[in-house]
Amino acid sequence: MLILLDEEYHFSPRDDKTNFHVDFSVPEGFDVLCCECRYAPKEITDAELKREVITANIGKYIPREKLASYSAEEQTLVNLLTFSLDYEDKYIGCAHRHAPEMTHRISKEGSSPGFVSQGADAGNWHAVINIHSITSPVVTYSLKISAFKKEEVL
Amino acid sequence: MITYKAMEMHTHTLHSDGTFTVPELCRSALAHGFDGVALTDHNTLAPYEQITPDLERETIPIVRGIEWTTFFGHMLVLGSNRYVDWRLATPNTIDEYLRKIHQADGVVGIAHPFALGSPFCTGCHWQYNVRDWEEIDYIEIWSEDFAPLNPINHRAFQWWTDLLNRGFHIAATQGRDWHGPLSRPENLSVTYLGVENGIVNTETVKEALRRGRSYVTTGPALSFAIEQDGVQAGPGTTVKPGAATARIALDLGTRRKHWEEFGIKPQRIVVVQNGAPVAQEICEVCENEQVHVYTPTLSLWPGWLRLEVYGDYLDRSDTLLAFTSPIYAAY
Repeated sequence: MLILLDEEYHFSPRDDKTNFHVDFSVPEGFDVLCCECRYAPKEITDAELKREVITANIGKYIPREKLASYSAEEQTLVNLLTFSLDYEDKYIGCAHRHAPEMTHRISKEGSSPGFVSQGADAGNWHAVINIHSITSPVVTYSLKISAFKKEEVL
Repeated sequence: MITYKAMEMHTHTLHSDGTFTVPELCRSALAHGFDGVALTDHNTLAPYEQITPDLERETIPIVRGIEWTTFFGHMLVLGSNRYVDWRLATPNTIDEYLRKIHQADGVVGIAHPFALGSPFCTGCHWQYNVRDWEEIDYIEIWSEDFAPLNPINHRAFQWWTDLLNRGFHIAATQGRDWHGPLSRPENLSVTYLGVENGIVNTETVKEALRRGRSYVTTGPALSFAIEQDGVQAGPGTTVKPGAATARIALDLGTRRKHWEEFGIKPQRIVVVQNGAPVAQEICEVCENEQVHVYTPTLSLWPGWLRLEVYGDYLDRSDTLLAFTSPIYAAY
């Protein structure tokens, strides 16, 4: 096993709707990539911040005459960051799911949902953290990418 | 020969945020009376690996798609022969990516354009500045279940009408935005697509959307054509201005078991030209008929014509139950 990347990134609302790019290389001799993705917080629990953000934005989507029946307390507000991956010029896929902790396995024999089958081939890889939505003042994102030989993963 | 087939046009599986496996989705779509399903997971082509000839033979045909789930809008992209990167489009560069999708032989539809957007659901509300509307093949006018009641669909219908009035040719679809098994009885609306020889596959579905051969219904099946000089022309085609006869039929038998429990009863058939009603029939006898036929004589002006059907829906009356993509009229 070889750890290729083990980093922690900090994002703020200024990074909202941007892609954060992380390049890494895989040396010869590996079969499986393991991408461990974790971010926090997921849900915005600060009631004041939540109310402020909802009040500032809901009028963009709901006609004024219907706003009175809209309850900010009933809305869930979350941060959403997804993980997508490329090998050389090939798009491997994306895990567009809401869970804030996911591990994605990439291999020729079959990858985790959202990613096509692809061996951990030597060369240039490109991870992208897709920052769909950040409302919290700071979101911490941990990304650890490891390469394994076939016999190391059963 | 063009035959209209019942499609579900917007679905998700475990490959994004759905809870269906690909076979479960196909079996569910079959059980709900669809003839085909568009597989449109968020930002991934990975589910295609699970489409096999056996699966399609045992269930229903699957249209290869993807939902571009971007920060500024969600787009349904069907049948591209190469990947176009969803991560690069920005509000003012979307036309470039629409062109690339078309160069890759794909078709493009805007999904749920008036859904809540950021920060509630980033990109769910359409915010792209499309300059070349010729690059948009269709719009998902009706989204989710119980579509006739959803205010975001009322806004989408009006937006689409405004675009037609500006002269653009854009087809209409529905999409359940189906993420998993239904937990309660749901009224799923349907997109009927006019496909060559009744064959549903990615290529015939793309062609139907490019040609504008579609209609959307929450209940009865429809047929709508304009007859001129002995020739009938359906949705998506262009006829000449002047005298014409509309050939309209409501089929109350097709898929009836999937919609009859929702109190759906057509009451008015309306032909709309350039946004205004030009012919209407009150069809009080519809309920007991299998097929109701209406053949009004029309005077066509340059622009577009659409069939709209109104009636009872759940506990409401005079609700939009179905509508077609336009037939166009031009010199």
